[in-house]
Formats: sequence, C-alpha cells, structure tokens
Amino acid sequence: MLRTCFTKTELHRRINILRDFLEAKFFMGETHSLQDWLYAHHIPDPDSQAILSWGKAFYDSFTADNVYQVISDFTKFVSELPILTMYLPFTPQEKEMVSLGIWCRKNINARCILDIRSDPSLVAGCTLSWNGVYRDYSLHSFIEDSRDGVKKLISQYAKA
Amino acid sequence: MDQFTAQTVLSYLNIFSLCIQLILLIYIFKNKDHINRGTLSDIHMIDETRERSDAILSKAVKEANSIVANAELRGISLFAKNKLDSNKYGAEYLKQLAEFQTAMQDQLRESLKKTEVSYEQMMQQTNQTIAHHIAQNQLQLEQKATELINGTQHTLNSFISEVQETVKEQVNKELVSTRQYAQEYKQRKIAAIDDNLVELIEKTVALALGKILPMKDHADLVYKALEKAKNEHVFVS
Repeated sequence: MLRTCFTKTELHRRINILRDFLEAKFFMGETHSLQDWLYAHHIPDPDSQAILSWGKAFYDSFTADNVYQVISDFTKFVSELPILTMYLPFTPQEKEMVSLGIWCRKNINARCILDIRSDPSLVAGCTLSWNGVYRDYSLHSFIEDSRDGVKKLISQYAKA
Repeated sequence: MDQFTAQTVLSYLNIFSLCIQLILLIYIFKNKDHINRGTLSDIHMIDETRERSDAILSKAVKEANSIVANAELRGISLFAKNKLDSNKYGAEYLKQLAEFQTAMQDQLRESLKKTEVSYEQMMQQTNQTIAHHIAQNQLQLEQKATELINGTQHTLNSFISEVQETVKEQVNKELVSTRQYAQEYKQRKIAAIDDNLVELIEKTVALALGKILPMKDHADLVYKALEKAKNEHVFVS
C-alpha cells in the first residue's frame, strides 16, 4: 500500500474506496470485479491503478467478518506513520506528488507520508512541519537569508 | 511868631477880664450879706464900687481893645510883613526851588547819561555774556548730542550684535535639530523599509511571479527547500 500511496489524503481516500468496495462485495451482493467496480464508480485512474496494484492476495485476505477490523487496523497504521506536513504555494499534480513522496521516502523516512496543504501566500518554496517542529523554507525565508545582500543592492541603487 | 503873639495877647486879655469879673463876683458873693444887710451907704458904696469896677473894667476893656487893636494892627502888619516876607520867601523859595530843580535836572540828566552809559555797557556785557553762554551751551549741547549719539550707536550695535548672535544661535539650534530630525526620520523610514523589506519583496515577487512561475520552478524550489532542510538535519528523529 505504501508503495503506491505517498500522501495521507491518498491513503485515506483509497482506504475508503477499498471499504466501499468490500462493503458492497460482502454485504450488498456486489459481484463485479474490483476493476469493474472501480470503473463503474468512476474512480480516478491514479486511485484505481494504486488500488489494483495492491494485488489479489491482498483482497483475498478480506472476509465479511474481518473487513471492518482490517480497515480499522489500516487506519490505525496510517495514523502511526510519520507524517511530513508540507505547505505548498501551489497544488501539485499526481506526478509531482509521487516525486515528492519518493524523495521523502528516500531521504527522510522509508515509511513517511506527506500531508500536503496549499498556502498561496508562500509564493515560492514551502514550509515544513516534522515531529511537531515547523520550518519555513518559503520565499520569505530565502529573502530573509539574503536580506543583507538585498539591502546592499537597494542602497547601491539609492546612491546611484 | 508875631501872629501867635497877637493871639496870645488877645487870649491873655480875655483871661484877665474873666479874672476880674470873677474877683468881682466873689467879692460880691462875699459881701452879699453885707450888701443885703447893708445900709444905704453900703449900697452907695457898692454902687461906687460897681462904677469903679465898671470903669476899671471899661478901662481894662478899652486898653484891652486898644491892645487888641494894636495887636491886631501889629498882627496885620506882621501878617502883611510876613506875607511880604512869605512872598519874598516864596519867591526866594521858588527861585531856589527852580535852581534846585535845575540843579536836580542837570544832576538827573548827568545821572541818566551815566546810567545810560552804564546800561549800555551792562547791555553790551550782558550780550557778550549771553553770546558766550549760548556758544558754550551750544558746544555742550553738541558734545552731549554727540556723546548721546555715540552711546546710542554703541548700544544699538551691541544690541544688534547680541540679537544677531542669539538669532544665529537659535537658527543653528533649529537647523541642528531639524537636521537631526531629518536624519532620524530618514533612519526611521529606512528601518521601516528594512523591517518590511522581506514582505515588500515578497509581495512584489508575489505580484510579479505569482502567475508567471511555472510548475517546474515551483517544484524545483520545493526540492531546494527540502534539501536545505535535510542539510540542516531537520528530519533527524
């Protein structure tokens, strides 16, 4: 599951889709396959592909008795995963989301998931929150780091 | 003197007659009893006496009158003489008076002349003195005026210098404080700009780049931020 899901939103969304499918299958007499069901319910491609990539063995492990327990365990598992909260000035596409997720798994923690939030006031860069510590790496921070250089530049223009 | 003599004589005569009459009366009163008790001889004696006294009296009166007449004549003659004398004396007096008057006039003329001369001299001296005093006063006035003007000029100059210094000092103070204020203002403004520099640039960039920055550049900046965070060991557990 973690191989295809990099953000908290994705995980929760895909777990909900999985629960809906399993409820339909076990309690509503759904007979269609997962793929058909996903197509029939107009699930977006990224989610469909991610869910389908979890494998047949994964779905066969669910029964009518354990479906809610397993879903609950998944939810608990997800809540215990390390989360990197990122505030971005833009809304990343799926591709960027995946790239970011891969980078984070490679450089930060193999099990970390991202919590992407949008903040247009950042203009550029991003702000991060990891283990309850907030860090600013937005344009504001970059300019602040270059404050002296900027002041010097402005004073040069002023003298000119 | 002679007039007084005539009058004196007349008065003496009157007194004498009165005395005689008085004596007779006394005699009569003294002898009144005798007269009353008297006999015809007494009466005859009295009559005789009376006749004698009357005669004496008349004689006295006549003599007195003659004396008086003489005295009067003498008095008149004396009076006339006196009158003549007085006329003579009057004329003499008038003459002497005239002479005296002439002499006095001459003396007066002389003294007037002398007075005039001395008055002229005095006037000349007075004029000279006055002219001298006027000249001296003028000199003094000029001196005083000059001193006053010089003093006033000096005082004015001092005052002007003082005022100038004071004004200069105040103007300098004002200039200094104005410059200081301008400098402080400039520094405050620069500080305000410095304080808000980042925000200013941020907003400028937001205005300029917010709609221009492509997704790739955004992503690059995000990776740059993540690298920086990694280098700062933000992700260490």
